[in-house]
Amino acid sequence: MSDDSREFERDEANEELRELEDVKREEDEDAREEAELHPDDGVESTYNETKPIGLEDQGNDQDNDDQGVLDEDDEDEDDDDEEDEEEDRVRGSKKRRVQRNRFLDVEAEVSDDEEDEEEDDDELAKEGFIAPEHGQEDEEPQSRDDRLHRQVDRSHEKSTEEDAQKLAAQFKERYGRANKYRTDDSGAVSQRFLLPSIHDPSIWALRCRPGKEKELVKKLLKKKLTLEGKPNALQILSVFQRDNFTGYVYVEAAKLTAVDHAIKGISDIYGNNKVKVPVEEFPDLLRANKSTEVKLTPGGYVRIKRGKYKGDLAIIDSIEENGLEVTLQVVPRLDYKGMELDEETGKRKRVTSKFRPPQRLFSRKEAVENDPTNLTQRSSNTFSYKGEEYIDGFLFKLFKVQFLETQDVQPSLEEVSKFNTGDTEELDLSSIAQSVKNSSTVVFRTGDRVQVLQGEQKGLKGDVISTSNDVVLIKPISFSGGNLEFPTNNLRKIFSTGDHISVLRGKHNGHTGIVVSVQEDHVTFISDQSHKDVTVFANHLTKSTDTSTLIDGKYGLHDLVRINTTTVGVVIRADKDMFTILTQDGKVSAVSPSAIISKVDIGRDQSFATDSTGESIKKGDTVKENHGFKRQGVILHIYRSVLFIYSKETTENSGVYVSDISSVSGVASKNNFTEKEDKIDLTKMNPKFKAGGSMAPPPLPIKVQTGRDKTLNQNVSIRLGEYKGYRGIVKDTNGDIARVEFHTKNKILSISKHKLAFVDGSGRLIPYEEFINPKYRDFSQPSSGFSTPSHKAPSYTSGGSSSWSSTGSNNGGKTPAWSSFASGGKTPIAGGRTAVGAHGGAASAWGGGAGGASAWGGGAASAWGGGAAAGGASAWGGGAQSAWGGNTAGGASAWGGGAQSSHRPAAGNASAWGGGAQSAWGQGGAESTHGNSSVYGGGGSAWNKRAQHNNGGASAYGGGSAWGNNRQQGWSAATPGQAETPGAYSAETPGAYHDAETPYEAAPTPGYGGSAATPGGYHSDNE
Amino acid sequence: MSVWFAQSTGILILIRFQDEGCPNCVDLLDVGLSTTSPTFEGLVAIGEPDKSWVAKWLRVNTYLPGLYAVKVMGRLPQDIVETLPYYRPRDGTATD
Repeated sequence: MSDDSREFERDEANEELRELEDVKREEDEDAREEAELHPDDGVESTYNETKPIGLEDQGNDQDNDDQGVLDEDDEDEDDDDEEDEEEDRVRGSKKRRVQRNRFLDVEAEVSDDEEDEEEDDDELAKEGFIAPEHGQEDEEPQSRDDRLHRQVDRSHEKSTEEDAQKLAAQFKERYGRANKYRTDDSGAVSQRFLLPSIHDPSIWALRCRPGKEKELVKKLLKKKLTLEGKPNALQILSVFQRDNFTGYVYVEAAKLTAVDHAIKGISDIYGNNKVKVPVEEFPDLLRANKSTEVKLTPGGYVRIKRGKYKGDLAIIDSIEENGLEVTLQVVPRLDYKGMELDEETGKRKRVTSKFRPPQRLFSRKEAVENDPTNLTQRSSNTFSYKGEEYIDGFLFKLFKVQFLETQDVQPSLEEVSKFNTGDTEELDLSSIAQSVKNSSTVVFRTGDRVQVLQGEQKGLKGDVISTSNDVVLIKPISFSGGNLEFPTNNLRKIFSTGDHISVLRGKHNGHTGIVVSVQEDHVTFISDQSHKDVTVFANHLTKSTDTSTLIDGKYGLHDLVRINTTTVGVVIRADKDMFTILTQDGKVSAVSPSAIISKVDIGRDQSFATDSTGESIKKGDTVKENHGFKRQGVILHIYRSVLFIYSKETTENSGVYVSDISSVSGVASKNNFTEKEDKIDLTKMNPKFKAGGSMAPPPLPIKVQTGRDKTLNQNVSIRLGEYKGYRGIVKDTNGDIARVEFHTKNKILSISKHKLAFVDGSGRLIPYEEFINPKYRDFSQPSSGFSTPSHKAPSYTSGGSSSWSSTGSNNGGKTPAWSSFASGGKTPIAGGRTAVGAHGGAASAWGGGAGGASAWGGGAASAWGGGAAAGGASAWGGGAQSAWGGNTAGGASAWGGGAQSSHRPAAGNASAWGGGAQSAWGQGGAESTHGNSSVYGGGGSAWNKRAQHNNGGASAYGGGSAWGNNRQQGWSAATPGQAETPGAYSAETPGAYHDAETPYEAAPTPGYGGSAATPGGYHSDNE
Repeated sequence: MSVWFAQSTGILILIRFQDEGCPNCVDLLDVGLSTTSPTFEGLVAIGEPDKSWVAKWLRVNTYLPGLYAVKVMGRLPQDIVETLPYYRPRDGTATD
């Protein structure tokens, strides 16, 4: 009979046995009674009757009797025991168990016998030995037997009933308790029902000396057991430690005083540092499977902790049944020759993790060459060599789990690729990923995008907000539920194609690159450093915008390093384990980091040098070579007389070249304070800013102020700055600075004239530039043309021409006259183009105009002749009077006035023209060349008047009105088309000026077109 | 004395263990390589199994006082497991 069946039947058998014992006792008694009564009745028959129960006892009568007695006593004793000595059960149980064991053994034998017996019986019955016997013998004593049997049955029944309760209790007591010793009952209960409650004892965590935890646990147990039963017995219930919590032992007790008592006098335990563990943390404290622990699975990666293969990566091939040993697939470190040599010399060098052969796949050839005797070939790719198994070149060996590192394996792709025999191109990255996933050393940085791998939030993506130890706070994307926390090993970094990343760990640590493909956990990127594609695990990456983060923290790109006592160089390329250095003599060499002695720190005194021109140059300055390529670059380092210069224009040596201080000259100095004052002020170069205004006047020669400063004693308003808006009077000037006395405050402020606005005669405010240089205004306001003497010639020409034409037209038909005048008018335009110096030109124009004059015919002709003779222009220069004067008698004086001052010719003109209107013009011209429209209006009226004089010149003046003078009803009235004009003219701003062109062009009459050309020309002339 | 734990109950009673076997399962298992394990974690000294919650939680509350382990690596061989009415591995793989 097998062990297990015996085991399982034990209870049942025991029960049967119990019954049997009782029954047998009864039966024995009955039998004895009956035997007394009926001596002939055989025991056999009795036994036959009870056969279903007691048959098995047949062969062991004697034993059973003895046993029965024994059992009886034992049982009684047991009963008493159990009722009385509950508390002593533990001790007692052992003794009893031993007895039971003996008993059970017997029972088991009996049980065997039973079967045998049954078989025997069956056989006998078949053969007719038993049944016939019964049949024959039973007939006669049938009635008596029946009675007896019934009696037996009844008593049996009775005793069974009587004992049932007791028996049940007994059995329960005995075997129930016995069962508790096995895991049966408690093991079947879910741990949920074992969760602690407040009624359970408390657990205190006690600080102790780290490393002594186990010792302390044992010590405390010993103490507890030793003092057991004594008055000073320890009241603690249990003591334990966990490897995860070093420096702590945990003591379970109902009261704190019990803990104190227990640890009294025990060293290495720090009794004053007790923390009561909250009840809800109890289960965690005693959890069997730590969450960090990696469950070994075939195909997973582990690292070997000891021996020849220490530190090597291995793949789990299979796990032994007991989980304590695993067969690993390892890249062998075989030293075929070395072993042989060792044997020859007799010195067997011990292979250690420090001195060991390199990892190489098993080579049959080498094995045959070196040690054929130890080689056995099992199959085409399976070998046994020196007692170890090699399949496909890999060693398959049994290792003990405790010698393996199962957590935090961190296989690198390089290591993993060694297991890639070449048969299969694809690595089993998923399994690597699994191993990697479990590592706790993944660095999550703020801003990393991560994905949750497990749990309810599996698949959730988010950005890392903060990390602390193993917990990462994440702000989920597309999920508004606030930030969530996850353990690091539950997260995976995610990247997308095109991300710029840098590698945080592994062989490619420090590399940066652009992601070209992402497949699950592994990311392929093009390295900025090697320009090759590299595949690494996503968790080893982080996003980075920095390309030039280079690898070794000690030396960076463009660092000046010392290679030996006489040689220094600049790092022009930094790789993982190689630096390329441009030395002071211009040579490029590749050195390992260890070959670099140190970084060269250049002291302050050495950071300056003198270039070929004797100027001071320093680090960061831009210099240019005097000879050769004339390269220009920024000084990286100055080492004695050698300059390391970086130029973005050269590609050789990453743009770094070496030069001597005597062959370069400084181009631009960086922050050179000595040159600060000479620094070119860009604002001064920019006319916009130079003018100090927001308008954009074309560059003009600044009129040199001579004589008394015009601005003196002018009323001004401050345009810019903190005193903006204040009004005052210029008391004094010094160059560009004016001292302004405020009207309001008793204060004199020195301020740039450019910040002032001057009050002109009409009360308008004009900027300084305009004030001193009325030309300024010309560009912005066409009307100013009238007032500007230098340009007056052409403008007047045109104006004049139109006026004249008008005069002429008075005589002749409007149209022809106009046309002729148009041409005449045009001429001066050309003259006007020659600007100030063009007075002469203007003169000729006038000449032209004079030519036109002839066309005019009319009485004006003579006058014009005079004008023309005067050369107009020259006359304009100041001598215009005569010309004009000749022109019109009345106007002569007026003209004279106008001609007297270059600034006033407008007035002069006006007077001339206007005759009566003189005053108006005079005012306009006198006050401000930039005529106010009103002034012009006045002029206009004058013109108008004159037109009246000239009778019917109205239409002609319509052209004049285009000139401007807008406001005037008279003018506009003159020509129907002029309705447009005034509007246009009314605007004085430059924009308005442009608008003003339109009316010219839009001038309804052809003649106007001609006259329009003139101002247009004037305009262009100034452009 | 090397530390060996009975894989079924996780008990260790100091020195007596090797001489006498596991007192909790002496009639079930023989102490031997197949039933013991050198690898364990979390040493627990149970002083009063019937009162201790720790003992209850670890399901050793019906065992004798002694040293137990929270976790014992390894599992009983299948043929032995079959003889047991109930087997709960103590290597941390059991879940309930």
